[in-house]
Amino acid sequence: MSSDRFTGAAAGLTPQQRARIAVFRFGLGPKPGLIARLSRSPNAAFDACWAELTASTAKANVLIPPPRVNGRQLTPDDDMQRCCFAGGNDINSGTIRYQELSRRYCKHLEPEVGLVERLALFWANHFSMHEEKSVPVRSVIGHFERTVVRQHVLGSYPEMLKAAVAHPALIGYLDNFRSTKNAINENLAREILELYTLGTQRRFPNRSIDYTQEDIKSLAGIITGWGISYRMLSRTAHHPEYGSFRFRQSDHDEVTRKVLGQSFGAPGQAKGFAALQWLAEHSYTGQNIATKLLRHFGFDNPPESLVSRLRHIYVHTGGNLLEVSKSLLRMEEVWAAPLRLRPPHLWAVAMARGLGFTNVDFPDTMTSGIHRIESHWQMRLRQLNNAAWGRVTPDGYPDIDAAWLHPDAMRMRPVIAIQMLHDSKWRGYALPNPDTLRSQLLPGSVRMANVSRYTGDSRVRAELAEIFLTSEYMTR
Amino acid sequence: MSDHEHEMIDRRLEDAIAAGCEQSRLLLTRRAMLGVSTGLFSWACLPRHAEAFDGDRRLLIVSLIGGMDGLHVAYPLQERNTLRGYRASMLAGRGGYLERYRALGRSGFVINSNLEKFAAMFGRGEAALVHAVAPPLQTRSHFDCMDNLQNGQPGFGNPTRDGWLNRFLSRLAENQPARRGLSATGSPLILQGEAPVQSWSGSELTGLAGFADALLPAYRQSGLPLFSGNHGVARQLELGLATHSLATTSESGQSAGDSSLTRSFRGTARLMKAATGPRIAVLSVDGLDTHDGQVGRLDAKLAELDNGLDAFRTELGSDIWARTVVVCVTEFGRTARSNVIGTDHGTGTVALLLGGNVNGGRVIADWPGIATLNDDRDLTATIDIRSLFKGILSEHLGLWKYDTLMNTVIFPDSHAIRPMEGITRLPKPNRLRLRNNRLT
Repeated sequence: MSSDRFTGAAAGLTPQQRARIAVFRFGLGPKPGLIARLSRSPNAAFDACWAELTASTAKANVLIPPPRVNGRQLTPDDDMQRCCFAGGNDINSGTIRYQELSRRYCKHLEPEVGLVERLALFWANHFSMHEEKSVPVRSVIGHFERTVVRQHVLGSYPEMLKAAVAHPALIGYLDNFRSTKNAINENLAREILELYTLGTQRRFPNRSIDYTQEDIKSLAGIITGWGISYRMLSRTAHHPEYGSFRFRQSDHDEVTRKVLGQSFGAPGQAKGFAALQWLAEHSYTGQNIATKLLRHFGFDNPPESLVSRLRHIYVHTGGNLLEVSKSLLRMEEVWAAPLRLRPPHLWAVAMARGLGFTNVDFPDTMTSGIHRIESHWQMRLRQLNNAAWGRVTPDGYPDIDAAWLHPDAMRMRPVIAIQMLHDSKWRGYALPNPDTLRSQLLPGSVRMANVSRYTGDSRVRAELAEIFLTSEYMTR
Repeated sequence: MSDHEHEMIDRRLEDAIAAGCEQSRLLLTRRAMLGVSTGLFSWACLPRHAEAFDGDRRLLIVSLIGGMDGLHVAYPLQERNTLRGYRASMLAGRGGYLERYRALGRSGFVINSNLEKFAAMFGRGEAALVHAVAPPLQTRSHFDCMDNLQNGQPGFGNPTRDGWLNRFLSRLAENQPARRGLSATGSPLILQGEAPVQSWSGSELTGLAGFADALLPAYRQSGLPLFSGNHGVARQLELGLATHSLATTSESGQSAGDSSLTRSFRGTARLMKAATGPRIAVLSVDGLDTHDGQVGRLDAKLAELDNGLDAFRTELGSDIWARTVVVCVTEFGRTARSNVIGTDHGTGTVALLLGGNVNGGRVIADWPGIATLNDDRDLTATIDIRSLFKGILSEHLGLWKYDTLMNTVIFPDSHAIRPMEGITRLPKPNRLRLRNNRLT
């Protein structure tokens, strides 16, 4: 038997504690039998996480294939084009959106622990977009998540960032398609600095220098002309590139500009790629990303020492996200961090996995001013203010307890738990025996709440919901 | 705060809930079904003895998220040509757009015609504009500036994550009704902190009857701080349940055709007007970030806000409206020049002030003009928004303007920021006095 992987802050954790932390803090929640299996040896939990991260198949496993639209499976070749076309058509955009969300939710149900899937969710929230911004944006957020976030989740952050900024979803969401050398729109440039690279100034008050309005204007100038094609072949027929990213030289300002003192003067689009590469490798970006990762996986207020260690790895590897993720997983302080409240989305996913769902959706047609297909799953998460693509502002859903731990939110959880169990009947799932399921999911745990006042199906639902409301399922 | 104090609050809270807010009724945010987003509503409740709260005043703070363009809301008539020049591209094809603004009395300012009901209140002397105002931190970042608006700090470097309104509430003595608020530490930041605060989203969904109550003992006995701690799940759930039951046992009065935002305003008023209901509330409205499609989007949003504010006034009734101040604030204004079709982040902007206790019919401004722009870009802020907030705390709620709490705790390092004067109409309430480190 190999020696204990933990020799520091996490060394005192029992194998079963480690197993629970692995599946709830780093993963998407246990499937039946997993915690027992990961509790068999001291290293089993860590090794299961490590394996998901480092397996030769890891990068492929996190990918999601393009959706089916109107009975036709899109291929990587026509994926972008078809999704963009949908942006010109409300009904098709609703279909694409529904398919993308549904596939994303189902993907959460696949892996054993779900660490890479958690990272994909983290990075999707890092580039959080609101589907109500416009029909074209709604049509391509899914494509963005599949081809930008998931493609690079274990790759390079500079590459992820460049792909993100050159994608019609972000260009559309943050208005850069409006930005020309004669009329600069700063929205995207500002959020690149505040959110995607260096970080908002107030979060890091001790920095010796910081970017200014001039830097924002410079960066906005550097990415002028980064737009979206609206070419038509005729009055009614789209050009094949319609809706996809397009660099327009005529809108681009060729002036050499400085950002934080660094000059960018390469011609055309190369100027922007150079700036993004430079920004992505900046140590402030490392600090921002280290802080966000630690806030997501460990602490409302990440300790400076951990931020500094993770930033060092980030900077040293040029933003290699596999190496950063490995370091994060190896930080015993994160394993030993105090329990925090599980945000609604992660909580609901854990519940679906625990119940053995292989599909989360049952399409339902709703009208909300625009025609679209809505799913129960998405609807429930919307009720908990944590639906995918539902955050209006680009800063993403917050990762601190104060955002989720308040009276109304706590009242809604039990309601939604019962509703989701009720919905599952419509999806054709038989509800499992609560006692059996409890022992399979959380070996050694006992019922905490007395629900004997209910009978029949209500009793089963109450006993099942109780598992997900009074245990580690409420934690991360 | 000591554990003992928590105990005290808990018991009073239970009493208050038992005897308290039954008349309250809330129907708020309906993100639920249609994805319409109006933001979280929170309030500090005054469950009992509300009558004893000096003057029985109400305060609603409306937080407009995204940076509302103050020049789109109102501008001085004299600057019309300058503004038209700045915004030629955005107003192209909308001939006479700026001519359709309405005069605000004899103030020299004109207001967007979508704020029709607000303009009528202005005419009746119960609404005012504060213009060229901004929070002290002027970095044009949504996140930094909205945080700053709500945390009351003089700039960067706030070590504590709590809101200025919560710091006021938490300093009220225990026999002050506001101190006996319902509990939570949820959003928004302005209400986060030590003082218990309630939150409510107006969802009518219910699960199995009594199911959530059955969870409470389980949380309390868990031994996990997350579940059983002072701000833990048990405490939050308990308060959420109490509020829900108050809301659902009261009469329902929503009007058909109300937008979700109007329902939020109406529900807020319904709770606040109850004799034992909350007195201080915060309501968040998003969608003001108009880089793109500004004219259509902002006009629609202003009309929606206008309807919401009017519904709030109507629902509250004239007696209580007379003792009410509503203030609508945003994190920054926007560029004076349009970027073809919208505007980018700026600095100075407008705050809307309304309520029966507002000494209205005025535009309160030290107008900097727009011929010369701040950073050659946006409206210079000549009023620090803290002076407006301080004026409201002082004239409307009775915190003495020279109180050290005002300048050191609620708004740290703000001695130089003088409270705005003459905001209200009614005589000032009796001054809150510090006894045993608490205001009574």
